[in-house]
Amino acid sequence: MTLLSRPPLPKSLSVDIWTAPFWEAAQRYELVVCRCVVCGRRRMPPSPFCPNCQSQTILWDVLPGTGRVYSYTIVYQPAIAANAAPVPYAPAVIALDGAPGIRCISAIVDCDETRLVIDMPVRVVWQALADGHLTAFFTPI
Amino acid sequence: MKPRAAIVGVGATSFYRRGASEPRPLLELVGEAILRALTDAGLSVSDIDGFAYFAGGFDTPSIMEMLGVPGITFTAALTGYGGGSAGCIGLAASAIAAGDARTIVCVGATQQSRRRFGAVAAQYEGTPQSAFHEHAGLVSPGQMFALLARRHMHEFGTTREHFAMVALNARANAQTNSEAAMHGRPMTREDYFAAPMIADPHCLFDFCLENDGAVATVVTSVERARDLRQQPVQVLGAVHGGARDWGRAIYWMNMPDGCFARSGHSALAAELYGRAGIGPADLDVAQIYDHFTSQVLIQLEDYGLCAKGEGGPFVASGAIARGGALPVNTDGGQLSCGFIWGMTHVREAVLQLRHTAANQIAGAELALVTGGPSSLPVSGLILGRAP
Repeated sequence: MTLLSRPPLPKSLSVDIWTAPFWEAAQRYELVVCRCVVCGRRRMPPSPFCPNCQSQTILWDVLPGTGRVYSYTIVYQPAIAANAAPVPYAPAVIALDGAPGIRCISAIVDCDETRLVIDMPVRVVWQALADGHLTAFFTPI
Repeated sequence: MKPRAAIVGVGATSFYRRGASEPRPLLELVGEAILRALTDAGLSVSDIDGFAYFAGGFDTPSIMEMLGVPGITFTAALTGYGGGSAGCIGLAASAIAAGDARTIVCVGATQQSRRRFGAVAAQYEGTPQSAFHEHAGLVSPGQMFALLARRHMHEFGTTREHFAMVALNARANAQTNSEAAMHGRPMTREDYFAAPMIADPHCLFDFCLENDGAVATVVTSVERARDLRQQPVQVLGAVHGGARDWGRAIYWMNMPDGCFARSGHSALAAELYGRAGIGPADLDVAQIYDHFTSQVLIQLEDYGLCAKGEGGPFVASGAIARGGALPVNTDGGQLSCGFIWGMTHVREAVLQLRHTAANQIAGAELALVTGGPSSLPVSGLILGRAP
């Protein structure tokens, strides 16, 4: 049994007017994605134009905060000393329930490394960063 | 399309272990590779009238000042990263066809003592977009491409045995290439599976080498090439770019289903073959960008060298070995010869088509060179031995 560690956390995150609502929702423990009001296409990360119809008008959908592991890696050696963190940790791409085709890049936490497989159902857990942002990790359901 | 440009000179420094080129400055390595390429071509610095790069390139006036290049009428670089390594030859060929310059130097170089490529993503300044992957501890390409490799394993049944075949092929080729950094250091299947896991499913030997060094090529018109020292190698086709569905790729991870566990090259392959007027079955040798073993077998699929999902069984069949149907990375590649950000692949293709390579494939007439997978552009190049 080897419990996966939390990944090395950035001290702060850069935000602009288009991404800010995502991080503000996280402060309310809400996982959200942006949706084009004109054509209904969702996109992540949020950006100034809809790549389908070029509209700038968006809404934010609150998702259930569950999903499935689309892919993952298990890091056993940190890439750089400055980024040293307890290993192993497991960056993963999560296919989000309630937003077909939309994925978020995250990490699997509170999970034994041998349990981690593609398609495993997961739910969000919130992790605080040093700058006060909350970010979404996922754990097995 | 009628070929307009040809590679007439190639030159390289030693492939130093990371940091071992110190205290020589990076620009000195660039200058050495350029001078060797000029000597190879039978040209002098005063013949250079253009520079073409990728990944932002180098400071052209510093090179001119250092080497005494009198004047130029072209200097440009592809955007992006290592994905442009094959494409920079196309950039030079386009400029020559357009009459922008007559003799263009393409150069790539690395000196990883100051900046390790494996940590490159951690050294970019954070942006509102990168915030969406930074928090996950994804900082190195080896970790990011591991996610694509794992998905390919899930979708197609690819295994680590398949990745091992790519690594072992490269290492075997390095044993008979005295220039290769891993010459004299053979590897067995047992060695591969005993290696430390870095970012599952990528173990140490799934990663390319970390080298310092420089590789330069000299590109000129097909007509002028006929009068120079070397057997000309013509640029039959080149392409760089890719599809929005691939886009930032490893930094985005929202590639649609069917594009995720791929290389980004599939959108360009048909265009490249069309420009060159050949098909995948015509190729004699391929130099496939091998920053990670997993990405080699996916590119083999995306360039139609085997069916989609069949990259694993294809490499396991021995097809990529020197005696196989399509020898791949004949110098040892970036996995075992040298990592100079893709430019070694261009050089090796040229040597194969001149029939002077260390591991010569008999009668080689047509070669494929790829750059990337990476964030766009990725690039492809088809070279042909001039008739």
